[in-house]
Amino acid sequence: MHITNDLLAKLNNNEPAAHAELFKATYADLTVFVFRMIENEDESEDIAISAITRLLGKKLTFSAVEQLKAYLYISVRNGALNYLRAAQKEDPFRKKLQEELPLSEEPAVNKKYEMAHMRRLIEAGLGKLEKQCAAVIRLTMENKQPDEIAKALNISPNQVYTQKSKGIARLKEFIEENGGKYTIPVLIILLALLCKFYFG
Amino acid sequence: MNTIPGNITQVAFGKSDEAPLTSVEQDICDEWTSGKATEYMKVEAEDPRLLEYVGMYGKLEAKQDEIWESIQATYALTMPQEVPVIQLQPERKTGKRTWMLAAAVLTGSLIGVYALYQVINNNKNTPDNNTVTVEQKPIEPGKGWAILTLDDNKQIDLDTLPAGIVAYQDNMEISKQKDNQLIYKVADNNKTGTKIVNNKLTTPYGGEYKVTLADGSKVWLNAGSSLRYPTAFNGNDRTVEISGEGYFEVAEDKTKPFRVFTHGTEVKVLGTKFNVKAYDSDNQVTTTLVNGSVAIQHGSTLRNIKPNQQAVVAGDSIKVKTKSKEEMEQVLAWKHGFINLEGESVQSILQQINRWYNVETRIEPGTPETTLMGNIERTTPLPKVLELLNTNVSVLFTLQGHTVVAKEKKSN
Repeated sequence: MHITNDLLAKLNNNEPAAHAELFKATYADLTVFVFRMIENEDESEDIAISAITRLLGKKLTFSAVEQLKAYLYISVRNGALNYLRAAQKEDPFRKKLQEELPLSEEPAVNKKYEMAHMRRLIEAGLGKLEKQCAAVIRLTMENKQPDEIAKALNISPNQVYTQKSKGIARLKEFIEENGGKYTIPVLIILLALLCKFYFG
Repeated sequence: MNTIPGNITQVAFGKSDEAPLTSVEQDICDEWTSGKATEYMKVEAEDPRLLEYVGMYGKLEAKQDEIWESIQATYALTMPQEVPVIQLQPERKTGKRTWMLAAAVLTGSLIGVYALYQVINNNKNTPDNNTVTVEQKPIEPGKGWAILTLDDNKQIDLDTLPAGIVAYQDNMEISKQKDNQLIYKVADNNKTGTKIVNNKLTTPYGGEYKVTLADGSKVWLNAGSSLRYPTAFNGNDRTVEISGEGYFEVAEDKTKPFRVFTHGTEVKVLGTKFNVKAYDSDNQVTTTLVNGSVAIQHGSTLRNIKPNQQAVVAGDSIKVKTKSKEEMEQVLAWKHGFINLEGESVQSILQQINRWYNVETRIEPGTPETTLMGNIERTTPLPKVLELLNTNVSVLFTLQGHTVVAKEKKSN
């Protein structure tokens, strides 16, 4: 979730344009986050949307971006847990946390990325794949089944499987190599561009 | 990481300012402050469902403009109704006060107009009625709502919690049912522990709840009451403590007497149905027996009562009266979802309103007593309740801001 101080100031001033901006900065992130817990797409969207609209409706003021993020996290996490409890399902994150607990000292954390960042990485990685391989991955991302992909691309289901596993392996490599690079804050990239502009 | 200001968490959980956080809610806040939340929000490169998530993310980004437009459309529609609600948070102090002043002025004039209207037209008039209801929107009838306090003093707000298992206490499973009741039972394949683990169920003003204890005894708690009980009855008796009002259906177990303690009075039973009313403001403990047999003990005085009898402990004396069938129904009206009017004083009616609608009440000096009949369903909105109360000849009930005021009806 990329929320700037500028956006926060506009929100605290209750500028209508800021409402749209906040929605667009958080909607996809929150929805995917909830989806990873509850695995129900429609419900995830509802939980995320109601967290955002409740915030806008209450006209809360926040003293820092972190507080706004805390509000959003608490709202959707609570919404998701309520859903899981009603459906009598376990919270996958808490379960996962227990599994990971002994390894908490390991720097495995570095392989985790925010969704927006992950998406940029995958997009960039897809550009480096062969055409057919990239097409298989793109269709997989649209939740297409292997036989549908085979039909759409006019290839055999076996080719779909091989292309898919090859593509995924390449993407992981790409993320491994480039993950860090893409985390450089925009400001630094801008500075770098400016330097290039002046001195290059 | 930062700490999170109270009002932000309360709004995030959709609770009122004063409501305490439940243990689950506290855990969520801790996730944020400890930084676990940030890790949860991230996705791993090794996640087997990575492509699915990234695909979904792209899809959501593609349709977010459209979604925002539809949100705005609905949002604009509901805007006018949300105005009073919106003033709740940061501008609370000034906002609420001006709003209440406006409400008081409006109510005053509305009641005048409304009374006039009633004289001319005996039919129910919807437009005025609506105005009153909308104006007083924050005042609502009570509902199934209670706070459970566990042995370690963790509090669970049962209002916002969905049905299902609430907690485990010493091998006892506590679950919330859909019909606002809590059930204690021995968790699968487990024997109850030997420790004494106490829980407390508290209904705030505007809440009522029902609990089935470990022995199968059922207790209905009226608004503004609390019941303290062990999660399992392991000793030679079954002891609970109550304040406020509760209706008990005690499961029969001759080997373990059931004992209810309240304000120095003990009600000893073997298996029976009875109501105990012991609000602090009452200064007395009233036990009304439906069936079975109970003994009331206060200090050294001990009295047995039979079905359809009522024992009132006031000071050091216990008075026993036999009640008619109608009077018995009046005592239990609350349990059946009614506000009882029959045989009640203006003060006791106002106390019922005070606890159920969570509003202040006041009796103006010189207010006479009045005789009201029947009862009112507890789901009735407050303005409608006052309208019904005002059918009496001598007392006028009005709502001024958040206070229900009773005063003498002027004959002109």
